[in-house]
Amino acid sequence: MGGGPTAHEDDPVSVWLNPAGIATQAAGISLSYQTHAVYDGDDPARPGLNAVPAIPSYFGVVFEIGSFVGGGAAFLFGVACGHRLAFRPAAGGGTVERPSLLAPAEDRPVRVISVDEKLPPDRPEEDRSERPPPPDQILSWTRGEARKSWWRALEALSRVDDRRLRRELLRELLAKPEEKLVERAAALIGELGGPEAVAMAGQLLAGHPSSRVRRRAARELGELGGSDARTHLISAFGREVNLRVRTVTAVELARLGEEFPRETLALELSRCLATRTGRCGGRRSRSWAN
Amino acid sequence: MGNRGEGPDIALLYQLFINIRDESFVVFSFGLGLSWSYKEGTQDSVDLAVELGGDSPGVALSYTFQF
Repeated sequence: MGGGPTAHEDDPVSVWLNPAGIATQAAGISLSYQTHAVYDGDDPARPGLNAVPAIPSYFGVVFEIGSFVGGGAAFLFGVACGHRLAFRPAAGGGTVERPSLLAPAEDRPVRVISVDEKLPPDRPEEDRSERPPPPDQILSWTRGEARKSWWRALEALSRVDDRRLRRELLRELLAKPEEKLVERAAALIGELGGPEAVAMAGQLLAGHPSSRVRRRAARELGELGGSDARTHLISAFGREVNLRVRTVTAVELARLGEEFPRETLALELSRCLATRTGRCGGRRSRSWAN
Repeated sequence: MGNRGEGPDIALLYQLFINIRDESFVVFSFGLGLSWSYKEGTQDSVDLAVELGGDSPGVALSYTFQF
């Protein structure tokens, strides 16, 4: 707020920042103007002053009211900055007017206003009609060192129809040392389909260092289905040390129609929880996984 | 911010949506302060600070007068 960026607090600005220090302030006046980031709808942020620019961000006066205690009193004057923020309409509803926080709680009803503009969805729909970049271009992105290029390749991957190219791109991206990228790429394995997709997901589930990636791989195997996917999942269930991955593995096995005793699953998971670290032992469950 | 259990919770009704330029920012802040004193022992000062690299640049100007 007022004067914060100027980094000095030995003046009336500190009345705003730290009211406990009023009595030690030298008598004086302080006046501050500062900009703040204004977010207006879909427009990029821009610097803005108060809604009425002539009004300062902070104006304060400190004066002593008596030397007998060496204390002081302060008058301070602050104006809320003119932020404009866009609120995304809730599903099935409209924009919501935020009631004044100064009003008593019982007088703060939530008032839903009609939807007056359409804000962009959380995730833009893929435009498959747009032609993907040339294959060589995408491959050069995946094989480069720049992480931003990897993400560009991942984005282009969803628009590639050539199955061989998709497989090649996926293989390249899944080998990258960036967890989020690999997790997002792994989510596309199910769309690829076929034995090579099962092999890719199985390989990730078996040996990727990130539990998030392994969890995603387990889900893809459940979606792909088939005996090979089932084998990968059973193997992972007996070997997996992460409780959440192990749980997802069990869920995906159940999704594939695997019949296993619930007691066995409960026992396996409870063993994970009982360990000091919350991690599973990594011991194969002979009672079921074989 | 409760609504006394009537209707859905307000937290479910809206999301703050801002269009940011990047996920992370490296912000450089620098400033200049000028202070002068009087025979009476008081002093005045003017401070200027600038922030660059954030979602939008920022400027702050402050004047302090002691009496």
